[in-house]
Amino acid sequence: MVSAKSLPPEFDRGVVTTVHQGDCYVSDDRDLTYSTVLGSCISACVRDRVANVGGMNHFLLAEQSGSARDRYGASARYGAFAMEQLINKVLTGGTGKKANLEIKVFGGGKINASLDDVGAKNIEFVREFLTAEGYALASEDLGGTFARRVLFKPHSGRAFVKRLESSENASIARRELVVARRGPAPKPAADDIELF
Amino acid sequence: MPKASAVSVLIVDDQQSMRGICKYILTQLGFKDIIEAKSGRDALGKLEKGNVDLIISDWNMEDIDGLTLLKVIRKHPRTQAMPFIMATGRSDKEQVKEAISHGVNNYIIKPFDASTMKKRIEAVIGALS
Repeated sequence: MVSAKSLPPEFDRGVVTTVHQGDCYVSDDRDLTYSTVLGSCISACVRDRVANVGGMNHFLLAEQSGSARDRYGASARYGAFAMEQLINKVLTGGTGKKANLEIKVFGGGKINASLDDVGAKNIEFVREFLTAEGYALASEDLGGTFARRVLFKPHSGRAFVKRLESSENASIARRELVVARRGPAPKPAADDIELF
Repeated sequence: MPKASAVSVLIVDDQQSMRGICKYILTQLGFKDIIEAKSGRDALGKLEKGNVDLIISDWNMEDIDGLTLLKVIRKHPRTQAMPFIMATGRSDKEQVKEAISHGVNNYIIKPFDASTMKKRIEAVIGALS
């Protein structure tokens, strides 16, 4: 992971796909860069290091009290589904071996002083999830009092973080909470499948 | 009308958090006899040991995946009629068709909640009391 004010000269963004809150994308395209802006939200970048297939998600557990301690409450379930969705997509597109996965996580900033520390609860959730599932973290940039832009190359697994100016915090925090409160979970396209 | 508390459910998922979520929801629905298997192979071992009335299995698992588990269960005389629900993030219609062709009884697309889980279970084993 590189944290710098400017990208290294060899970095070629190529085709940039923005990963919005609730999204989950996976690709093996060498020229592709996933890009996202995180306030209190978390993005996990998961890559199969053998198949060179990687992906990024972006989620926020919106409940502000006790949600991280309630491991199977609606909010934590949403986070677990978001993580499982990404991991399964990478496994399906890659070697299918969990041992080949490398995982990096970003975000969880405290960017709105007037709210509870939603970011800390999101960090607690993602750490507990990864520990419970037996995954080691390859890299992280979590917490702090700033928002960040994260760029991730799914083919190479390289990640770049830029800390954003605090003047952007209020609008990012507002937008994240609006999206998070709109619905508890992203609905899959075929949620209406029902047999018999 | 089956009593939830009298139905033995086997949850098969290689992710601890997903087993936990399933168990949490099943407990909310009144189920008490809940067995967990952390892989397809583990599930086959648990099926040999005890009585199970309903299987809820993940699709993506490293050793024996959900579809293979379904095929094995459908071949074995003792388990071939056992109700089997696939709980997975896979929503591709071709995959749904494949699971149906091998005798899956119903299908839950993740993310799911208690009400979806209840509906799918009731569609398979009848309304719960």
